[in-house]
Amino acid sequence: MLGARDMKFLRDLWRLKTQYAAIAMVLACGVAMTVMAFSALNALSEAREAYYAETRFADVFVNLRRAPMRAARPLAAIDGVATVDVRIEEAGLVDIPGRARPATGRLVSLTDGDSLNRVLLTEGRRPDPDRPTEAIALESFLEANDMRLGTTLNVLVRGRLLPLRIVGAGRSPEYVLAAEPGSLVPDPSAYAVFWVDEKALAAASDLEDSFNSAALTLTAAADPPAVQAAVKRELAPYGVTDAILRADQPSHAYLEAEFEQLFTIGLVLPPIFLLVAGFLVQSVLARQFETERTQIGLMKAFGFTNAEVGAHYARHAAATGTLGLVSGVFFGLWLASAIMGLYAEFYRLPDVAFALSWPAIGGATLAVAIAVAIGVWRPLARVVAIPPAVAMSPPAPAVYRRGLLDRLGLATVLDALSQIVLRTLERWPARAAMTAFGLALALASLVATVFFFDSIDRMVARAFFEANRWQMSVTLAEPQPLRALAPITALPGVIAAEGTRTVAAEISAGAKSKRIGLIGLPQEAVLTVPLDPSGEPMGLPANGVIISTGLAKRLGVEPGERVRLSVLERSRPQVTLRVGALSEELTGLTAFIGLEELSRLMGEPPLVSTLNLLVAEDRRDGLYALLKRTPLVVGVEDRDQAVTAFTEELAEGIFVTMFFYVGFAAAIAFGVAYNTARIALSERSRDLASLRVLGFTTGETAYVLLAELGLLTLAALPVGAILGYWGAAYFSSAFSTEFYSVPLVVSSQTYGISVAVVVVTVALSALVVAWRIRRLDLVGVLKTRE
Amino acid sequence: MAEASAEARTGTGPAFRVEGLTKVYGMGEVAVHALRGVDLEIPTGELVFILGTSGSGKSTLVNILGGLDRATEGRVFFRDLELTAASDRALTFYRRDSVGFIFQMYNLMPSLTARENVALVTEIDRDAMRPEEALAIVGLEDRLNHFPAQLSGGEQQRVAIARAIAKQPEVLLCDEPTGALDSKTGIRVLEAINKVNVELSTTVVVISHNADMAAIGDRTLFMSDGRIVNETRNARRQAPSSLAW
Ligand SMILES: Nc1ncnc2c1ncn2[C@@H]1O[C@H](COP(=O)(O)OP(=O)(O)OP(=O)(O)O)[C@@H](O)[C@H]1O
Ligand SMILES: [Mg+2]
Repeated sequence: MLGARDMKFLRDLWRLKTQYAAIAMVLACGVAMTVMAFSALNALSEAREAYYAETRFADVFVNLRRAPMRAARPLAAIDGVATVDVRIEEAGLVDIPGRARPATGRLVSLTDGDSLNRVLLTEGRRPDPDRPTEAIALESFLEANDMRLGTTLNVLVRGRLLPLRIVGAGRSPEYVLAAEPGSLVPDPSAYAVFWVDEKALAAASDLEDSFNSAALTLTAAADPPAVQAAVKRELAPYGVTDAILRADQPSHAYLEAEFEQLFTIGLVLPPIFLLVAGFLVQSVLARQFETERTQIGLMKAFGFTNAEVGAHYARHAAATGTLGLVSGVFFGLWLASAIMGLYAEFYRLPDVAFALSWPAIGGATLAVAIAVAIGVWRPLARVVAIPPAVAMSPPAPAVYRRGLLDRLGLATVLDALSQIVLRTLERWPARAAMTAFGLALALASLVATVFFFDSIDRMVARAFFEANRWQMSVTLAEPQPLRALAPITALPGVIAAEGTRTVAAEISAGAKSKRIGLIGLPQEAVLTVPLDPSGEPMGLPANGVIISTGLAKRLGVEPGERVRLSVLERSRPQVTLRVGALSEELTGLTAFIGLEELSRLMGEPPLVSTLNLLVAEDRRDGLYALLKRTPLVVGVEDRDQAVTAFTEELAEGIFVTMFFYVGFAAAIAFGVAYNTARIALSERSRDLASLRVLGFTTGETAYVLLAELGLLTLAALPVGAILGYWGAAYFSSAFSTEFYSVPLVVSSQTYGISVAVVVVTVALSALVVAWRIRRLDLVGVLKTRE
Repeated sequence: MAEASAEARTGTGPAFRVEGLTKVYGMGEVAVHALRGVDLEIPTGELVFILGTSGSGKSTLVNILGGLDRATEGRVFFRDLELTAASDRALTFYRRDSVGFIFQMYNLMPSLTARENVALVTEIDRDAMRPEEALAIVGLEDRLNHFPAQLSGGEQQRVAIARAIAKQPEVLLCDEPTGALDSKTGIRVLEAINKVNVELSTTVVVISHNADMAAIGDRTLFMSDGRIVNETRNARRQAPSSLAW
């Protein structure tokens, strides 16, 4: 049986339904974003763990030049090592039938039994040990190139052509994200991994009875850095270049960085929505209490307690909060399941099962409760303060005073309608400020997300056109003197060639250290130029090192301070150098020194490991054909192809996300604008109807209602733009990973689009409300007192 | 006084002509017949009182005369303008150009001062008085810059009258203008209304519950159950100051 108060509650709820729905929508967006981000994160993490366990993903990864099989035994004896697995890994240049540009390839020996880093066969079969040319290929590579099982590919290994027949497609935890070292984003079509029979690969790479790669798992009690050091010690005689922990394994680290971004999204954005929703709850309820002062006084006069009256009104907020929460959870789960497929494909994780994140739902519930409580607290305090006596006295007209407007002499200049607008703003400055702030937040969240497109543009411009001006970059199997490269530089179509040398190195300052690629640049280099933070090319400092700003931040060093460089190749020299300057590197962790200085350091004549080329456009394909047959070459990167891959891969992910954010930000703008206009309408319906009675047209009457919203929107724009810039600054630093830095650029176009979205949304909600002016009850309003 | 309105006042035709006016609220079972066939003519420059029991249809009739409400059946003319056939926009401009309203609830804009409340309508009318002039007629020349919240009920009502007469409307429609006021203040309000009728020859319709008050008018209409059931004519109009209630 519903009591009279329940009836009133339900009627009021129904009357205010659109306003509460708008608030619930904003709440739902915040909740949905949280639920989506954490559910997705949960599912991905679980899928990754299951995948790692199933394939026995290693904890330590070791690369060396060549070691005899017996050298593996002492590794197993190291304290903390659980399992040791050795294998052969070899680089190769892959000729793809029907395509000029070769792909970078990696051949990995296939050990059977319970080895580590196992390949999951998704199609076909494992190679027959008696047929040495059979191989399993990385699934993503086959798919990206539309290749079927049974295809035979020619792979250039150590100067010899090795034909490989693809008999299976597979996935591996080591190559969840398959990317050439140093490339910006994964380009699956240009990166191949082949698992081939161990004996066949040993024969092809002259590593019979030897290994050049090892993988280790650790016991629970192991001290990873100690194991790392011990492994390096044991394998030192065999030219160990690297012993990295899982955290530094490229594929794993890339996934980690992506997961971190998801986490940031789930944590940072929703509070904005909840804040706005709280503010909306407050304004709607405050307005309702204001109109119901007499009724509230009457209820108290009848003997209802403050708690009973308060509870009656708190139910509105609770109902709205519940609606927002429930619809947000469902919307979020729907988004999560939609986006999960996308992620599963992007990250190539098998069996991404939808996993509900209870902590996320719990957190969202708590956050909604807090938002609603914030919204309801002040209005409720006012309900308590209303004395029963107000029921007996008629409502006095709202008290206005001559304000700033009059002191400035504006009152006499403006027409009466404009005065109504300005005086109302002046009368409730806090409310006006809140509305403007809400709209500013909507604009800010747009600017802070749309700017990613500017960022990508800048990344492309910097990475592919300003810092790297080559069109083709050829990676050599072994460092060579420049003289020895005549067969390449003299190829038809090569306009200019410039050699650089990259060595793996560890850079450290104090206790902090980082693995980097140390690049030796010739003094007169023009195809690769470090850029200073403002984007200007800069020369190499005499006997100093240029490091990226990201690296400098990580190491905590400034220009002029000293860093220690330990080369991890060949004679493994070490040197302490001054940081000459900081460069704005978008990709990876790199440092530049002079090529001469690097050679001196290595104790070698000038050698180059990469050859950057400018090529004649019409000779490009011919050039590829020749490069594929040049024994020295293990990889070719093509600028145009890289740009396309970068924008497609990265932008695709970003577009989807961006689509959501623009929608979410528009939801905020709509929620704020609609509620503001709606509140203004109901608060002043009497005045507005009076204006209509006096002969003002609907348009003139709407002006009184909407000019205020227009002014507040105008005021919100600069504030929102500034907040948006800060937001962009925050995201650019939060989303910068070791692999790429997200530059902070906000173009006027971004501001323009964001402002347009906000203005259009406000205009739409204004229109919806203005439409109601036509239906104002002119006669009814004259009969009642309020 | 402006020439144009003087000419309109002396026009021979009636200000309002009402034929078979019916107003039904709602439909079917819950239909309420507020007016059941009203025929009426109000000559230009007349001061008419409408009396009648509560719910007899007085407000409904006046609201239709003022272009605030629509008839269900019948025809209503203001001079040559057929209100019952006019568009919403035409009605808006009819109210804007020709009608002044005074209600029991004063319906002032709380955010505007007394002068600004009057200026609100004079700004959109070509041959309006100055707001100060209109406020002087109702004796509020020294309260120009007060907001409604700073005025008494009677003063607020007089601002509403000033607002209604400032644009020198051809008709002034008053729905219980003294309803919320004490007798002394009510008389001041009636004096203002009377003055407008006498000095500007404005056609005035006043709804009242007070039969004595009707003594200051030319004619009194009695309504009951949606019809005009009786009417009386005063040989001589009394001065408002002679009233007491
Ligand atoms: N919006 C409406 N819906 C339904 N019925 C209505 C509406 N407005 C008025 N009525 C009915 O129409 C009839 C006439 O109402 P009206 O307001 O004209 O009376 P009145 O003579 O002015 O009364 P009072 O002296 O009390 O003001 C009444 O019975 C009233 O209940
Ligand atoms: Mg009435």
